[in-house]
Amino acid sequence: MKGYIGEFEELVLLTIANLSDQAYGVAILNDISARANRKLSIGALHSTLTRLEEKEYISSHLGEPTNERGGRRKRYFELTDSAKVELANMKALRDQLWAGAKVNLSVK
Amino acid sequence: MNHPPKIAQQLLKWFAGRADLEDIQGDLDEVYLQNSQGSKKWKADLNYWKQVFSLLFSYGLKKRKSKASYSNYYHKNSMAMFKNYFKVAVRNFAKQKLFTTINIIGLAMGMSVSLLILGVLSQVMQFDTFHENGDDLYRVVTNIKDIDGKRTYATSPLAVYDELISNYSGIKEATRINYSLGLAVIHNQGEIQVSGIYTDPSYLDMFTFPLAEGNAETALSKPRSIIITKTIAEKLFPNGNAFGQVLETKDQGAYTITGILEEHPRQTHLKVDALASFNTIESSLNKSQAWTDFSGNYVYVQAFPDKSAGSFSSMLEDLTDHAQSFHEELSIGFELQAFSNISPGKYLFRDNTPFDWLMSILLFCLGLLILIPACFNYTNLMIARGLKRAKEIGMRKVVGSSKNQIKYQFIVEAVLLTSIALIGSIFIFMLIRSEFSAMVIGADLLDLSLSFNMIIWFVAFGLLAGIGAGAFPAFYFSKVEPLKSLKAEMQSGSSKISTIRKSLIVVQFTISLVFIIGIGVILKQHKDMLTYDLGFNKENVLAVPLQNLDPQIVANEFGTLSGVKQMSFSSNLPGIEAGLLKNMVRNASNAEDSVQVYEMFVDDQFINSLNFEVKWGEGFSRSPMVAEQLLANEEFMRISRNLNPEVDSLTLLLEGNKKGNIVGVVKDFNFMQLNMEIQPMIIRYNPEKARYALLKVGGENLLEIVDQLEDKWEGIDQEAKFESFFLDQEIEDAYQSAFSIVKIFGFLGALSLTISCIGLLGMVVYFIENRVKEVAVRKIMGATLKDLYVTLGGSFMKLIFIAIFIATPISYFFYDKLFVQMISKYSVGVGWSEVVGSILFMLLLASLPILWMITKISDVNPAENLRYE
Repeated sequence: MKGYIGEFEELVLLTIANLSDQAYGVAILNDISARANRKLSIGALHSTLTRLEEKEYISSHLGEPTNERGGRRKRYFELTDSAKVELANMKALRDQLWAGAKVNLSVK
Repeated sequence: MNHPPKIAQQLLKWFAGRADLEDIQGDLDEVYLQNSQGSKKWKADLNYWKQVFSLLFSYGLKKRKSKASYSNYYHKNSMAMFKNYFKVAVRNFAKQKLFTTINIIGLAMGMSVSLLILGVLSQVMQFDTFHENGDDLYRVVTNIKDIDGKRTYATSPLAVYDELISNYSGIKEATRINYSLGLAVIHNQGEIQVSGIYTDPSYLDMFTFPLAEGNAETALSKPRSIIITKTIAEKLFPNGNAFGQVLETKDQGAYTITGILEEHPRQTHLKVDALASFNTIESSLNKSQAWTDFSGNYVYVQAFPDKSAGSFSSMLEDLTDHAQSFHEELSIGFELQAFSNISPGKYLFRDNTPFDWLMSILLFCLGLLILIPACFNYTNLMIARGLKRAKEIGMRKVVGSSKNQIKYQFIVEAVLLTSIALIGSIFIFMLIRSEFSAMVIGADLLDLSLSFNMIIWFVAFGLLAGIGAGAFPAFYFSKVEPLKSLKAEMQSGSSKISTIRKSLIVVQFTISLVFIIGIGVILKQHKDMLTYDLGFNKENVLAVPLQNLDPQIVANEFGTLSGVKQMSFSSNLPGIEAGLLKNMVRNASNAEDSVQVYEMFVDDQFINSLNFEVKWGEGFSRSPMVAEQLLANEEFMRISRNLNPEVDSLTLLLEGNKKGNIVGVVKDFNFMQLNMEIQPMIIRYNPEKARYALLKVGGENLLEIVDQLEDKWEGIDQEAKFESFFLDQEIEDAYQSAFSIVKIFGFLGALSLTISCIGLLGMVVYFIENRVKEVAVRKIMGATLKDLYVTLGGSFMKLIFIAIFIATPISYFFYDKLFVQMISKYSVGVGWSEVVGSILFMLLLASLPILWMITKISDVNPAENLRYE
C-alpha cells in the first residue's frame, strides 16, 4: 500500500539516500540528530523504519557480523524505486510551490 | 569498557520474546558506547533505559513480535508437542514400573498430609467471611506494658463498652461478650452442660446469626433470657417445642428460652451453644473493676459504614487516658482490630479464636516437611533414572528440540505422576481426615468434607507440587550435551551418587529422625508424667461423683463397707483440675491488697486420706470456730510474703466480708496438670460444696467393692446413676487427651520415614543394578558377603550417619528447650535413652532396604551376571 509520506518519514528517506550503503540504525539516528538538531529515540526511529518498510518505500538486509557490536549484524536500509518516485514527486510539488510563491520567502 | 545495564537488556529480551532483536540490540549498544564516552556512566545508563523504554512501546518492536509468532517453527498451537510429551511420559512410566510405583506411593502419602493441611487452611481463610457488616466490625483489644513486657489482650475492660456507646458518635453499635456462661441444665433427672456467652442484644444485630424462632430485637433484653442453638434445643426438647420454655439449672436458677439460633456456617470464632442476656450478670459484676479488669470480657464494635478505622484514633486516645488513670503499675492502651483480622490473626492473650497466624504457619510448615521428602524422592529417582535416558535426550536435541522442549517433557511427566498420586492422596485424605481433625484444636469449627471449592484447591496444589518436583530434573536434563550423552559419557559417572542426590537423602532422613526422636521424647515424657510424684497418694483412690446427694448421707452409707478404708470429700479432683480462680483480698485491713488464688472445698478427712504432707499447723478440726478454717499451700505463703505463719495475721477476707483463718500450710502439690506450674491455693473446709467422694479402698477384690458401693448408692437414690472411677486412672486419661500430639507426631513420623525408606530403596535398587557386573567380578575375586556389605552399603550408611549427626542436636535442643517445657513444667528434660532408642530404630529401618538388596544381588551366581552383560 502506498500512501501519504509524513515530514519525518521524508526526512528519514532522504537521510537513507544520503548515507547510501552505510544506512543502518545508528548512522541514520546520528545523521538526523546532527543535521536537523532533533532528539530522537531508537524506538521512534525503528517504528518509522518499520512503517516505511511496510509501505514498501525501503527494503532492508542484514550485513556481516561486526566486531565493534559484539558480533551483532547491522541492518542496512535501501530506498526502493517507488520511494524514489514519491520523493521526486514531492520535490517537484515543492519546487512548483516555491517558484510560484508571491511572497518573498528568502530569509535575510 | 562500560557495560550497558543488564536489567534493561534482560527486560528488552524478555519483552521481545522470540522476535529478532539482533540489529536493534546492536544499535542500542552502539548508542550506549557513544554516550558513555566523555560523559558519566549513570547518564549513559539512564539514556540506555530511556531507549529501551522507547522501544518497549514502539510500533517497530510490536510488529517484529507479531511476525515472529507466526513463524512455522514456533507454532502457538503446540498441542501436538503436548501429545508427544504425554505419550513419552506414559511409556516411560510403563517401562519403569518399580520407580513409578515408588514415586506414586511416596507422593500420595506426602500429598495426603498436605491436602489435610490445605483443607484446614482453606477453611481458616474463610473464617467469619459471612457477616454482612463484616467490614465495619472491630474488636477492641488492650495493649498492656508492665514489668513482664509488652503484650496484647484480645479482651478489654467493660467500662470501654459504656464509654463507647454513650460518648462516641462514630460507633453505631457495640456489644460485650463474657464467656462465663456454663449451665448445668436439669434434664430428665440428669444434667446437660450448656456453655456459651453472656452478651448484649446488639450482638444479633452486628453479627449475622439469624434466629429460627424469636425476635432478634428483644430476645436478649431481659435478664435470664437465653438463646440456644438448634442442636441444643433438639437435645433438650426432642419434641421440638423449645421456644418459650424455661430451663431449670442445677445451681444458677432458671432461664427462659427467648430464641432458637438458626444453623450458621461453622467457620466463625464466635461459635457458641448458647447466648444469655448480659444484664443477667451485670449486677454481680464488680463496678470498681470496670476499668481495672481487662482480661475477662470482649468488646466488639460496629462503626458506621462511612467511617474508617483511622478516624477513631482520637477516641482511642481518650479511652487510653481514661483507663490509664486507673492503672499505676502498668501502661494500658487500646486498639481496634478489624474483624477480618481476628481469625486467623496474630497471637493475642486470652484470644477467643483457636487460629492465629503462627499456628497456621506452623501447620503449613509441617505439611511441607512431609511433602518435601516425597518431592525429593521424585527428583532423586528421576535423576538416577534420567541418566539412562540421557541418550533419549541427546537424540531429541540432535533432531532439533530446544532446551525448553526438554524442560516441558520433564515437567509434563512430573505433573502427570503427581496427578495420579493426587487421586491416591485424596483417598488417603478421606481415610484419615476424621482421625486428624480429632487431633487439631478447634476442629469442630472446620468442615473437611470434599467441596467443589476444595477440589479446585487440591488440583491447583497437585499441579504446583508436580511443577515443583519436576523443576529440578527439567533444569538438569535440559542442559545435557547431546554429543556427550550419545557417546555414553554420562554413564561413566552414574555409578557414583552425585552430591546433590546425597544431600537430598540426608535431608530426608534428617526430617524423619527429628520426627522419630519426637515420638520417643513424648512417650518418655508421658511415662514420666504418670509416675511423677504429685505430692499426694493417688493409688487405690476411688472417686464417686456425688450428683447432688448429701455428702453426709453418702458418708454414712459408704462408711459401713469394710473395703472402704478412708473416705473424704472434695470439690475438685486433685491432679486434674483446679478449683475456681478467685481474687482474694489478702489483708483484712487493706482491701486493695489482693491476690489471685485457686480455691477448693474439702472435708476434714481430705488431707489424711490422700496423704498430703502438712508443713505447718494442723488439718481442719471439727470443732466450731469463729472464723472459717483454711489451709494454704506453700506457693500461697510465698506469694504473700508479708504473712508469717508464726504471727497471727493469718486472717483472709472471704466473700461477703467473712473472715477465714489459715490453720495450716500444705506442702506444694500439683493440683493441676503438669503443664501448669503450681499456683497459690486455698483449701477451704466446706463439705457442703463437695462434688466428689474420694474413697480409699483396699482389699482382695476391688471390683467387688465397686459393686457393693453401687448397691449402697441405689439404696440412697434410685434416680441418679452410680458412677465411679479410680483417681490414678482418671489422671492418666486426662494426660491421654493432652497427648493427642503423640498421634500427630507418630502419624507424621511414620509417613516421613516410610517415604524416605522407599526413596532409599529406589536409590539402592538403581545403584545396585548398575553394579551387577562389578559385584560378580568382586565375588569371583573372592569377596565375602561381609566385604560386599561394606563396599556397597557403606556409601548409603554414611549418608544416614550424617543425617543422624545433623538431626540429633537439632531435635535435642528443640525438644529439650521448647517442647518439654510446654507439656510439663516439672520434667527432667530429654534424656539420652529415648534419643538413642529412636536413632537405633531409624537405623534399623533404613538399613533394611540396603541389606535386602545387597543380599539379593550377592545370592546370584556371578557367572550368570557376567554372561548376560
